[in-house]
Amino acid sequence: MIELKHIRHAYGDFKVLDDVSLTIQEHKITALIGANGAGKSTLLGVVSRLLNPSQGEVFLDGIDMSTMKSKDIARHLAILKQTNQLNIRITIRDLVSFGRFPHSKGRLTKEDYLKIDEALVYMNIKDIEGKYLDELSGGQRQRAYIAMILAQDTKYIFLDEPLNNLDMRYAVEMMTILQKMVKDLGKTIVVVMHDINFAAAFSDHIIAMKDGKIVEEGSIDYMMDKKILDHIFDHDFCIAGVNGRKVCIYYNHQQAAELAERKEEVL
Amino acid sequence: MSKSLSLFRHRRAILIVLFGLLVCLSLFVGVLDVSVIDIIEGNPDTWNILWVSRIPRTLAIILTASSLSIAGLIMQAISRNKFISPSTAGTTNAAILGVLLGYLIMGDQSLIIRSIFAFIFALISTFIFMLMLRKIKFKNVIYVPLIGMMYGAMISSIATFIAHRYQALQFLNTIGIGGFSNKAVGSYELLYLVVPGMIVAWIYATRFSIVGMGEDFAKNLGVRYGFVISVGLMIIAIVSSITFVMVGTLPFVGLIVPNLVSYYYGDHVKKTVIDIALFGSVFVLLNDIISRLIVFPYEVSISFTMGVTGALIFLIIIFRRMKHEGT
Amino acid sequence: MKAHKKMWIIVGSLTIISILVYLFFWMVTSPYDLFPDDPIRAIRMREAILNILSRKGIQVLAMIVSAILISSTSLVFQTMTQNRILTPSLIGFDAIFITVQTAIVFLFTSSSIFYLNPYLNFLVATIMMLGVSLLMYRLILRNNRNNIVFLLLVGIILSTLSRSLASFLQTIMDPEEFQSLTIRTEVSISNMNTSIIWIAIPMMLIVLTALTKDLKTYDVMTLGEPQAIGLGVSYSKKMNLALVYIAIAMSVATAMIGPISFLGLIAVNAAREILKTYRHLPLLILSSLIGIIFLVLGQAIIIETGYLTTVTVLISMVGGAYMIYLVLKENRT
Repeated sequence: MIELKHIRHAYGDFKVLDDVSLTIQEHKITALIGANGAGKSTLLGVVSRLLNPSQGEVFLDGIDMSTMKSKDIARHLAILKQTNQLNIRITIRDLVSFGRFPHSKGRLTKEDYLKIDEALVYMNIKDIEGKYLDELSGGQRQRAYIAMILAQDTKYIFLDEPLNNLDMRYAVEMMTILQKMVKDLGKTIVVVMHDINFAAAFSDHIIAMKDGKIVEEGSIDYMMDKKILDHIFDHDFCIAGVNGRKVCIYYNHQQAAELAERKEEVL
Repeated sequence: MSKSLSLFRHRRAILIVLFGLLVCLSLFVGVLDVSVIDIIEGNPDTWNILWVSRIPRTLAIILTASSLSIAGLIMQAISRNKFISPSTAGTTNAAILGVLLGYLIMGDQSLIIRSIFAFIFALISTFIFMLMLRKIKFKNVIYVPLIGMMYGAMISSIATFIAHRYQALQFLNTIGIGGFSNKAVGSYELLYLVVPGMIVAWIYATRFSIVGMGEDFAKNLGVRYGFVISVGLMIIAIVSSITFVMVGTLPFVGLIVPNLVSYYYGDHVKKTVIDIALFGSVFVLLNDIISRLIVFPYEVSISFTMGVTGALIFLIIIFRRMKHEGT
Repeated sequence: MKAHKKMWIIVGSLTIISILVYLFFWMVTSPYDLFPDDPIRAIRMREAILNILSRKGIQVLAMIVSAILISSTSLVFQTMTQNRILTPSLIGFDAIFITVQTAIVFLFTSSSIFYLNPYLNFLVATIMMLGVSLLMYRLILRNNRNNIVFLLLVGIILSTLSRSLASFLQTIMDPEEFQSLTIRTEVSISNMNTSIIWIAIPMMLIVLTALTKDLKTYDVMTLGEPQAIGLGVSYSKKMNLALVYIAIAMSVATAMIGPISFLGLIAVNAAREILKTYRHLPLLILSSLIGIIFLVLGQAIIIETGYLTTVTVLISMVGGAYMIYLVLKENRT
C-alpha cells in the first residue's frame, strides 16, 4: 500500500500540490484525472520519488520513502514518463534488459533472461526484439517501454499519460494490457490520463484533482457524474449511457448553437 | 536473431584482424629497417629498436586512441547528442588554458604537473558545459556542438589574453603540438594512467547507457543520475588531459569513432566498448602509418592527417545522418 | 519611440565619440610637441599629423565598413536560423580565405599579378570564396532544404579541413613564397589590409542596398518557414539570396580586418535587448552602430593602453560570456 500524507509542493509562491493525502489501493487500476495544471504529473512525480515534495511524506508499504535508497525503491515501484528517446540506437531487447538493472546491476543472470523473455512475450514483441527503437511505430515503442517496466518486476507501476501519442486502437490495446497485468500479475497501477472516457472504461478507481488538491475520488459510477466532472474541468458536460456504460460527452450541440446565435446578434 | 549475431561476430572478427595487421605494420614502418628475419633471429639491434621505439609508439597510439574514443562515447551518452566530443565541447581548449596557467604559476614543469593542471581545467570546463547542456532544449541536434565550439573559442581567447598579458604567446603556440613520433621508452608511460579510466568505463557501461536515456528513466531504475554523470565527467577529463599533454590534439577521434560504431553496432555502451577501442585504434594506427609514409623518410604531423581524414569521414557521417533523418 | 529617442541620441553620440577618440586621442597622449613655434618644424609636424590622420582615417573607415557588414549579415542570418546565438562567422570564412590565398600563391606564385595587385587579389579571393560558399549551399541545402544549422556544421568542418590543408601546403612550399603569403594571411585589426578599402566601400553599399530592399520580408520570415510561405514569401529564394550577400559581406570584412567571432553576436543581441522588437530596420541600424562602437572604441582603448591584448581577444571573451548568458537565459521562457 502506498500512502501520501499532507504533500505540499510549491514553485516559488505557486502551489502545485496543496495538502494532498491519499491511499493508493492495491490490485487496481487507479486513474488520476484533472484539467491541465491541476497537479497530476507533479503528484505522480512525488509518489515515484522523482520529485522531492516541499512538505509531506510518502509511505511505501509502511516505510517512509525518503529514508529508502533509490535502488531499493526501484525494485518495488516503477514509473514511466513520456517516451521520446529517439536518438539512441538500442534494440528492444536491450531496452527491456535495462528493466532488470535494479535487480542485477547490469550483470544478467539466468533469472533475468527469463524475466526479460517473459516480458517480451507478454507484450507480444518477442518477434521484433532485435529491432532498434527508432525503427518502430509509436505503438510498438510504447509496448517496448511497458515491457521494460514489466521486466522491472515491481508491485507498483506508475504511468504518466501513456496514451498520448497512440491512436485509438493502440490506446485501447495498452489499457487492455494494463488490465491484464492487474488481473494476472496482481500489479497495482496508477495512470495519469486526460481522457475521462478512457479512464471510465478501463480503470477501477478514479481520483480527480483540481488546483493542486484532490477534490473527489471514488468508483467509476460515482465519478461519472455531471456535477463532479463539471466542477473538475470547468466545463459543461453531458453524461450519456452507451452499451450499459457511462460515457462523457464534451460537446453540447444545443449549447453551441445557442452561442453561435448570440454571436450573430451581437455582430 | 542468430543472423544478426553472426554478422556481429563477423564484424568484430574483421576488426580484430585489421587491428592485428595494423599493429604489425606499425612495428615495421620507420626510418630504420626492421625485418622479420632479424626479429626471429633475435638480432639485438632490431630488438632494441622494437623495445625502445616501435612498441612504445604503437602502445601509445593504442592507449590514446581507445581512451579518447571511449571518452567520446561516454560524452555522447551522457549528453544524448551524437556530435559532442572533447574538441566540440571546449574540453581541449580548457586543457590548453590549464597548461598555460600551470606554466605561468609554476614554470616549465614536468608532464605530470602539466597533466594535473590540464585535468583540473578540463574537468571544470566540461562540468560547466554539461550544466549549459541541461538548459538547452533545442530541437536541432547539431545546435549543441556549435555552441560547444563557440564556448571553446571563448576559452581559447581567455588563454590568448592571459598569454599576451604575461608574454607567453610563444609558449602558448607550442602547447598542443605533440604527436607520436617522440614516444619511446621513458616518455610515454604516463599514458597508462588512462587505463583505470577505461576499466571504470567498462564497469559503468550499462549505467552510462541508462543515464543516456534521461534522468527520469535513470531514477526509475534506481541509478544515481548525478553520481554516474560525475564519474563520466572524471573519466572524460582524465583521458582528455593526459592524452592532450602527451600527444597533443588528436582531432575527430572522440567524435567519429563512437558515431561510426553506433551506426553499425547500436548504442548499447556495454556491448560496444571493445569495438570502440578497436575501431579507434585502427583509425589512428592507419593515420599514423600514413603520416609516416606520405613523405618518407620525413613525418607529417598526425594532427594534419587526422584533420583531413577525420573531416572527410565526419562529413560523410553527417550527410548520411541528415539524409536518414530527412530534417 | 520617445523612450528610444534618448537611446538613439546616446548611441549616435557614442559612435561619433568612438570615431573621434580613435582619430585624435593619440594627440593628447603624444610625447611630442605637435604644434611647435618654429615654422619649419611646424610644417613638418603638420605633414606628419596629416599623414597619421589619413592613415587612421582609412582604418576607421575599414572598421566601420566591416562592423556594418558583420552586424547586418549576422542579423539576417539569425532570422534565417531562427536562433539568436549562431552567426555566420562560425562558418569560418577566415580559414577559407587563408586556404584560397595559399592556393593562389601555390598556383600562380607570389610574383603573379593575382597576388601582388591588392584589388585583383581581393577579387580573385572573393570570387573563389563565393564559389566555395555557393557550392556548399547547393550541396547541403538542396537535400536538406533550409537547414542552415547543418550548413554551419559543415562549414566548420570544411574550415578545419582547409586549415589543415593550408598548413600542409605551407610547409611544402618555398620559404620565400611563405613569407610573402603571411602578408596576406595574417590580417587582423592591428594589421589591417586597408589597400582594398576603395572596393570594399562600394561592395558594402551594394550589399546594404540589397538587404534593405528585403527588410520587410525578413520581418515576416521571423515567423518561421511555414508561416512565411503561407504569407506568400518565396522563402527558399530569399534565403539563398541572403546567404550570397552574407558570403560576400563576410569575405570583404575578413579580408580587411581578419576574423572577429562574436562581434555579430554582441551587436545584434544588444540591439535586440535594447529595442525589444523584431523589426529589421531599427535593429540593423542599431546593431551596426553598436558594432562600430565596440570595434572602433575597443581598438582605440587597446592602442592607447599599449596593446595589452587584441580587440579580437577582448570581443571573444566578452562575446563568449554573453553567449553563455544568452543560452542559459533562453530556457527560462
